[in-house]
This record gives sequence, structure tokens and C-alpha cells, in this order.
Amino acid sequence: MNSGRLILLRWILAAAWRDQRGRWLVATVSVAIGIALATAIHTVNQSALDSFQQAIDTVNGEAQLQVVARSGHFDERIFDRVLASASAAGVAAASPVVEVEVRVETRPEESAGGQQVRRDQRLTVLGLDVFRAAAATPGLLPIVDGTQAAGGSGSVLFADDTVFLSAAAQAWFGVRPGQMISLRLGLEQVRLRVTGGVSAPAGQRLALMDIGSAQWRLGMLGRLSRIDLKLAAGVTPGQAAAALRAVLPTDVEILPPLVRQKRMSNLSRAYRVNLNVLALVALFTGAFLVFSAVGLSVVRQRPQLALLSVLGASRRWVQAAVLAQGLLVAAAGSIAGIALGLLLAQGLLAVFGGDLGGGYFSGTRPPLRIDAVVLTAFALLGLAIGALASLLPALEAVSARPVAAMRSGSAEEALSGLARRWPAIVLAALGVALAGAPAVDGLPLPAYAAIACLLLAAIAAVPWLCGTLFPLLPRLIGQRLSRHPVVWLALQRAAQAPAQAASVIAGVVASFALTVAMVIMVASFRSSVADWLDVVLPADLYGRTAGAGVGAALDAAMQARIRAMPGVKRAEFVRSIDLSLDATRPPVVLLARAIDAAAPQLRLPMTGDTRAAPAGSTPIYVSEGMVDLYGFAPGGRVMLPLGNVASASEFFVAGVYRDYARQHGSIAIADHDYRRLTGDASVSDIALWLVPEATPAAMIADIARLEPRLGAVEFRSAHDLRALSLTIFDRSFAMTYLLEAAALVVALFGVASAYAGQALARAREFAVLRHLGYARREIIGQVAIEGALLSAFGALLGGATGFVISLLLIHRVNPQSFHWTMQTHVPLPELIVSAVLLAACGAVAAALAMRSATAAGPLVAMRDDS
Amino acid sequence: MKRRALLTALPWLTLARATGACAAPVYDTVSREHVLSFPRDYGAHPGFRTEWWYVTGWLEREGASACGLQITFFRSRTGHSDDNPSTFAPRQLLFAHVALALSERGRLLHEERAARAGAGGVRFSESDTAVTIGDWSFTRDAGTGRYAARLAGRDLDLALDLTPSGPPIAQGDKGYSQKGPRPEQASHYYSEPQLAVTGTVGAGTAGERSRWKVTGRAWLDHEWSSTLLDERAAGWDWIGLNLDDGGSLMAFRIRTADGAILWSHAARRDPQGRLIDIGADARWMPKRWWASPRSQARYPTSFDVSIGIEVLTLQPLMDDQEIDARRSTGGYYWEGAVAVLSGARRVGRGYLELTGYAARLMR
Repeated sequence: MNSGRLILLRWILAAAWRDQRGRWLVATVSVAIGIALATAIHTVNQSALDSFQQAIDTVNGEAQLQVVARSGHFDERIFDRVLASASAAGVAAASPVVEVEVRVETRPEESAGGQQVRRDQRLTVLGLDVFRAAAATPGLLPIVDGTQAAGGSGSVLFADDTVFLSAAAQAWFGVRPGQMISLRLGLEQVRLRVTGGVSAPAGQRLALMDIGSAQWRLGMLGRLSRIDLKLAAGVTPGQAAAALRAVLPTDVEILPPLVRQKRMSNLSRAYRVNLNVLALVALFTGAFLVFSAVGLSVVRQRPQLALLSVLGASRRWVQAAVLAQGLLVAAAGSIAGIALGLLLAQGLLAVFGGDLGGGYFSGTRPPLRIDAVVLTAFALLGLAIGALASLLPALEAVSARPVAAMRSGSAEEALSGLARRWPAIVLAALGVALAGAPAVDGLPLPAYAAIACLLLAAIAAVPWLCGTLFPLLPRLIGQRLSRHPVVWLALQRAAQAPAQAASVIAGVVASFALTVAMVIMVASFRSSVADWLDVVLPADLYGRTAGAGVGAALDAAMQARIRAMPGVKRAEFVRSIDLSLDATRPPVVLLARAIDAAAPQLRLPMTGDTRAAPAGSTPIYVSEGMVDLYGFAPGGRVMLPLGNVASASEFFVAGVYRDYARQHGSIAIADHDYRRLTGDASVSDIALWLVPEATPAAMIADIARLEPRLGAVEFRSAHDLRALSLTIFDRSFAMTYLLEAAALVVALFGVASAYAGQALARAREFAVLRHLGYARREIIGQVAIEGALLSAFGALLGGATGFVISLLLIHRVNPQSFHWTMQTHVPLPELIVSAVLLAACGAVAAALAMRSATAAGPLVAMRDDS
Repeated sequence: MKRRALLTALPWLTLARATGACAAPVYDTVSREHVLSFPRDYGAHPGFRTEWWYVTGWLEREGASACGLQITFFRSRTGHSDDNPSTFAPRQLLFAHVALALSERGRLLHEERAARAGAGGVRFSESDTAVTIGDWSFTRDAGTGRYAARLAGRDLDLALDLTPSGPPIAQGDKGYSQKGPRPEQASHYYSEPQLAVTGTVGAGTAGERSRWKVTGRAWLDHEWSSTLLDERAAGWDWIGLNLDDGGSLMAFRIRTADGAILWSHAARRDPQGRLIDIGADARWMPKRWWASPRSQARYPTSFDVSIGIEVLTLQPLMDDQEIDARRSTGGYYWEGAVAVLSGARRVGRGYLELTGYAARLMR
């Protein structure tokens, strides 16, 4: 392209910009909003995940291979067995580790504002043998603080009450070396002296102790959490793992840390993908705005473009001129969107931390991590959307014969390519086909694709449906009303210009469809969770001890004392432990609790019939996730690494229950079976039924008075727990609602800007009407009716599409992402109100746009065409 | 005392301070009244703060020149609470050093181990000499009295049997060996000089390891204490020499930071182990200084030691016999094979230990 053409291109772009600045701005902003939301959500999630993984890296040191427990911890004698076969397996160094999550009691007394009690804050404490860690994981060593080394650092390292805190943990506690911290472990409070640091990446909270002290102080006597291994030169992790597997019992796994990392990433993967998809919806809606802006700009420029063609501009050049308009908008929107999104992410991280509502990263305050690859992909996506949105107008700009096009054409011609039926049918068929496909790699990608297909099908069907349905409208709404000239004109317009109708309401259809889909899905989910809570919370009062160590639980004597307490009618206890059944997945939770084999539905929200376990076999009940993820089908026999015997035991799957609390799977077993198999009689959770005259609040006070040691247990009434659960539920969907609102606002923008454009494109039409004696307000009225009609139609179509999509969300996306099912619940009144509101907003948006556009007198408008 | 006191220098080992709810353990104290009794005293004395079994000697290699050998097992009791039932409770730590002085290498071949006793094959016996850190061990056979040292490392391996030539020799006053001006600055100390050594020694990385059959003469010290050094002590010099006539000489002196001698002791014995001379007047005259390129310390690697009328010249196998123990027991020290000359005539072989030259010892 020579410089002359470039100058010409610049002139055309500049003219297009001057012509309808507002419109271009709206299109740019809508792209920017989409990109910004996607960027912000991805960045927050990625930052949280990175910080999470860094935490895992930190906690794991640089071990090449790890021996880890399938359920929390294992017998420490396994360490001797690892050492015994170390040289044969190619292990150069082995470091035993105790890893305990403790609850942090309060801020220390010395800190300012000490009244602030930090509830439910958790800290990972690692117990290490410094000598062995120095050989196996040299990055994971305590650093004795200079001020604490009096008498030699050895005294500090091996004292029985010392702890080393990373810089972030010291800041979090507000302590300096030499001061004491207090940790909550089960019923016990452990006070430790901070004597130094541990090198950890910025922001990572980590505590190190001597392994002997940790076993003793943190209730892990005789137990290890893992063994970090360093391999001899030339030995691969696979070889060493195979050699060790042959000699170690099955209740431990031998894994490279990468696998554990993947497991942690899998924990939140489905949730993160879900949010990203939602964020892209806003971008998707923005694409229609770009489309309508470029399309109408082409309509406006047809005479100029045609003149240029006549003067010898090639078709290719004309196409490029049109494409450039869309690309410029998209590029500006993408760049602004990414900048905006990063700012938004920064703000979200600062205010809310790394958790966007899913609860996966709660309590983290990760630093901003910019994922350049994905952000570049978002920018390219924005550009692609700009190119795609202007592709059709660009093709149209050169398809007409130049001479015909030189007359100020109707936009209808430019968009007539849309009025075909087959794209909608093909897309709908594709959507239905994809809806039946199974998840890919644990993600409901086909279901997402099906949703996209259905959305596109609905949009593609708009022109055709308009052309078919609007002519029928006069008959529907009655002769008298439709004879009213303003209404008549509006109806005629809608019926005669279906392609333009599509450009006006495509955004509305898309965003309302997704809003309806989400509203139905969330309503279904919420009512299912509410029902579920009724079943899982049958008692009056619930208590849970902190900490996961062996000694963190309530022993049999304490259980008996609780049962005997005045006011307690009945007490049940739950022992919950983590079981790792698959190295790459997060552990499943095993719940040992009172279950009546004859009527398990009294305690478990069963989804189907239960089967009686054959004589001699131990029944277990599994969550839906277990069926999906591990193939634990009802009636099947499965192996679980349970029991003191270091071998797997066989169980009978007697039924399936719903578990909205544990998406990665849970297993319930009768408490007497669990005790028989493991000999573990301790429990971590308490459920109390009270006598009628006792109230939960009074009972909580009584418990603290009668059993001071239970003061450490957090008790909540079933009512509070239920309310709390639903609050958490609502919070976790707040981000979803926000994204839907953003998409709807963008769609309404679209309606307004489409009408602002039409006001110009239809200037001649309106001038003629004015000439015939129409008042300006009547024209505005006509446009308002058009807007309302189209928006209502959009809401209807969107609503119908949304319902279908909600079925996909409920029956495909949720079970495939989170492995739980729910009953469909359509909140019809809310949906009808929103549809009416949307139609009203459409009317207002159209009228407002028209008002400002028809400010000029009719003569000016008439002349416009000459 | 010797090298061993170096323990006190180490960051790991130092004295435990009482922290938290549990009282610091009370260490056993060295008593002049204690009479060494065997085989009990061959074993460990975990009530005391530090203890070591220290082997030094010269080995004749088949087909190569003579080399120096040092094997040490240290035991250290920390201040960790006695109430902790954990098998990993770090109450007793074990350390081991091994160093070969091979003249063809020009410097020591050195490896070390450190671990807590109780778990993972790390243990010691209280009834006889038996210390094990994984695949490193030093044990005494109760029937024959013969010691077995088995150590395999990255760059060396040893399998040696050490046979005593007579009963152990109680150093100092019947095994009470004073190290400073105050009576509690002392240790229980016996030696087994003139140990006959046989076995094999390997040196070099796994792929190209040379291995020799060896014979030789070694010296074993076993010493335990809770309070060893005076606070003015900055370092010490020690020798343990096997004389060719079957006699032996052990001497040490404790220096202050300005080079003054705080305490000095020497004991010359005849082939039957009878004391010939207590050299309270022993004098150490440095003959040559060597500067380490690693620690920058200057060590007197050759001495004339005069005891009574006799002057013995110590001549090192090589100058660079410095050990870098910063990662285990801490700091640098010089522990080297020396030939003993009387005039120009060789009259024995032994080991010289020089500590506190690189940095002042921490208390």
C-alpha cells in the first residue's frame, strides 16, 4: 500500500470516528469491559494459585521424591524401612517430616490492637530433622536468629519449645524472635518461642520446628506426614519409586512433588475454568457491539466507499478500510481492558485477597502475578472478535454494485446476509450433539461449547424469527391497537428490517440467555443445598476441634463425659480423616459416624436406594463424586487403605449420597466399623441433640463451664450453621452475579447505541414522517415501541435459550465440574420481572438514543441524502 | 581432651539453655573419685554433655606410601527435655568425622555424618563401645577387645580392625584428666595406644576408587565430660604419639587468645604402659608455620616438644591437613599425621591436633 492510500485510509478512519464518536467509544468500552473482566479474574485466580503452589513448593523443599501418607500420616517405623532399602532404591538422603495444620489462637499480647481475635486462621507447621533435611531438602532449614543464639545455636535448634517462622508468618503474628506465639491444637494450646526464621518466598507463611518437638507438641507421636527423598545421581524418580513401592506398605504413596502440585491445582481447576468462561461472556456480548458499530459505520460510509471504488480503489482496499475500523476498536478496547483488568485484579487482591468466592484460596493475600501468555491470548481474542465483527460488514461493503451503493442505502441490504435460516439450525444441532459428550480431562469443555453453539444459534435465528414472527403480531395484539399509526409503523419496521433487529438485540439475547441460565442454575443449586442442609444438620448443636494431628481429637473418655452432660439428649461424633486414593487428585474425606445401616438416609442425603451389604462385608456410603471420579458404583466392592494393618481392606458400596461440601469425594462409614478396623476411637466433630428446655446458646456456655478443655471447640447451633452455609453459598456466587450484570449492561449499551446509529441511518425515513405531519415525540414513541418490542422479543428468546442452557449447566457442567447433582428449580416470578424490566430498559434506551439523534430539524435531514 | 573439645566450638552442640516449661537436664559432672571400670566405661555416658571416641594412626598401604587416618565419633547431649517420648526427640546427637591423609593428594580426604540418636539406625551403647550412624559404625568386640571401624562415604570407605596391645591406659589421675585451673574443668579419659590395625581403605570417587590393603598402628582416645574448657581458652594443641619402642606420649596444652598457656599436661609411658615422666614442664616450640588458603589461618605444623631432657621433633606428613567442619561440628581445625624424630632418627609416629587457630572457640 503506498502512502497515498494510507493517507486516504487515515481520512476514512478519522471521518468514521468524527461521525459517531459516542458509538465507537461505547464499542471500545464494551470490548474493554469484557477483556478487563477476563483479565482481572484470570489474574486473581492465577496469583492465588501461584502463591498456593509456591506455598506447596516451600513446604516441600526440593525433594525429588516423597513418601506420603494416603491418609494424613503414617507409622514412623516406615522411615526405618525406607532407610533400610535406601541404597538399593537409589535414595541418597531421606528426611522425615511432620506436617501439621494448626489454628492460630490470637495475636500475641505485645501487638497493638490485641483485641482482634483471628478466628480460624491456619498455619502449616513442619517438623524436620535438620541433619537429614540438610541432605535431602537443603532449602528447607531453620535459620537461628542472631539474638537467640546465646549459648550456641544448637541449644536453640534442639530446645523443645522453639519454632522458626518465615518473615510473612512473623509479620502475621506480629512477633519478633524471642517472643512467644500460641497455637491451637485440638483441645490443647501450645506455646512456642520464636527463635528465628526460615527462608520462604515473600508472602508465604510457614513455621518450622524440630521433628521430635513437633511430634510431641503437636500430637504426632509415632507418626510421620511424609519422607522427603533425594536420589543418587543417575536414578530417576520412577525407578526409585518403583523400588520403594515394592518394599513399603500400601498405606503410603511414593510421589514426585510435581504430582502433589498438580493435585493442588486440580483442587480448584473446575472452579477457575468456570469463572474464566463467565468472564468471556462479557467479551462475547461486546463483540455484538463492535459488530453493530462497524456495520452501521459501513452503512453510513457506503456512498464514500462506493465513490472510492468507482475511482479505482480495489475491493481489497475497501475491505481493509472496513476491517481496520473494527480492529482499531478492538485493539483500543483490548489494551484498555488489560490495563483496567490488571488494576481491578490489584484492587481485588488488596481488598479481598486471592479468593473470588469459591473458598479455595481463602485467607491468602497473594502478590499480583501477571500471566503474560494468557493476557496476550486475551488481547488476541479481543482483536479476533473485532476482526470477526467487521468481517461481514467488510464483505458487504464490496458486494454491492458501486453505483447502487452510492445511494444512501438501507442498512438492511448490508445485513441481509444474516437473514438465513441454516446457520441457526446447524449451530443448534451442533449444540445438542455436543451436550451429550462427556467431559474432557475433567473439564466440561463440550458442555461449554454446546452452550456457545446454542447461544450463537439463538442469535443467528433472530433475523429469521423477526421476519417470521413480527408480521404475525398485528393479529395477535388486535386490530384496534395495531391500527394506531405509531404502533403500526413500529410493527411494520420490525417485520420489514429483521437483520437490523438482529444487530440491535443480539447482545440482549446473548446476555439475557446467560443471565437466565445462571439464575436458574443458582436457584436450583441453592434450593438443593438448603434441602441438603436439612438432612445433614439434624442435631441442635455442632462442634469441631482444630488441628489434624493424632492428638488433636477427643478421646473416648471425653466423649462419654459429653454424653453425660446435663441438657444433652443425644450425642453423636464424627471422625474425619483424609484418604488419598489417587496420587493426582486431592484426597477424599472419610467420615466415620453413626449410621443406621437400615436407614442411612436419616444421616446421609441419599440420592437413590441403598443396598444391604452382603454378610461379612463392611458397608460404606459414597458421595456422587466418588462414583464419577473413582468408579465406586453402588453394589460394587472397593478397596480402601484403612486400618492399622498396612494393607487395603475391602468394602461394599451400599449407597450414594449428595455432598455439596466436598466436591473431590467423600466416603461415610459407620463409626463402629471404623473403630473395629482402625482401633481409632478419637473423634473431631460433635453433634448434640438437646433436651427441649435447653437452648443452644445456654448449652454452649454450659459446655465451656463444665468442661473447660472444650472451650477450645467451636460450637455452632444448627440454625447458625445453616445460615452460615447459605451465606457462604451466596458469597461464592456474588462474582457470578457481577459478571452477569456486566454483560447485561453491555447489552443495554448495545441497544442504545444501535438506535443512535439507526437514528442517523433512518434519517430520511424520519424526515418523510415529519413531512407527513408526524411530531418528533411520535417518532420517538415509535422508536420506543420498536425498542420495547425488540427487547421483549430478545428477552423472550434469551429466556428460552437461557432455560435450555440452564439445563446444560445443571445436568452437565455441574456434575462434570464438581461431581454433584441438583434438582431443577425455576424461579419464574423473578425471571418474568427481569424480562419486563429488560424490555422497559430497551424502550428507554432506544427513546433516549433517538431523542438526541433527531434534535436537528426535518429539512436538514431531508437534505442529507442529496 | 583434644580435638574433642572442639565440640564446644560447634554451633550444633553447644550448651542447652533452659527454655519453656521443661527444665533443662542436669548434666553429670566429672568426679576425681570416679574409678574407671571396664567394660562399662567402654560404652557411652549419655548423662554427660560431650563424649568422643577418637582414632588416629598411620597406615602402611600395599603398593603405596604410608598415610594418616583419623576417625572420630562424637556424642553430644542437648538441652532437650527428658519428658519428650518421641523417638525423634533430639536429646543425643551423634557426629562422625573421617579423614585420610594421602600424601599424593596433598590435602585431606574428609567426610562427615551428623544425626540424632534414636531413629533411623543412629544409636550408641552404654555397655560397650558401639556407635552407629547408619552405615558408619565403630564397635568393640567384648570377647577379643578388638575394635571394628566400618565407614563408607562418597569419596572413601574403610573397613578396619584395631587390636589393642594391652589394657587401656587411664590418663591424668586414674582417668580424671584436668583441663583447666578449676577442678571441674576436666574429663574422664583413657587411651588405647599401639593398636594394631589391619583392613582395607578405599579412596576416590565411586567410578575410580583405589583400594589398598593396610596395616598400621593407631591410637584410641575415649573421653567424656560436661564442662571442659576455661572461658579464657581460645584453643589447644594435642599430640598422641606411638613410639617405635612400644611406648607412648600424650600431651596437650590450652592456649588463651593472646597465646599464653592456660594449662599444660604431658605423659610419657613405657611399652608396658607405666608412666615414665609427667611433663608438667613440657615445652612446645613451633618450627614451621603453614597458612591455609581456605581459612587463612596460620598453623604451627611442626614442633620441637621437650619433655624432661628429651626433645622430640614433630614433622607433618604434609602441611595441608586442615579439616573444614563448618557443616557439622563447626569451624576449621588442623588434625594431621606427624612423624616423630629424635635428631634425624625416626622414633615414632602419631597425630598432632591444632585448634582455635582459625577462629576463637565459642564457649
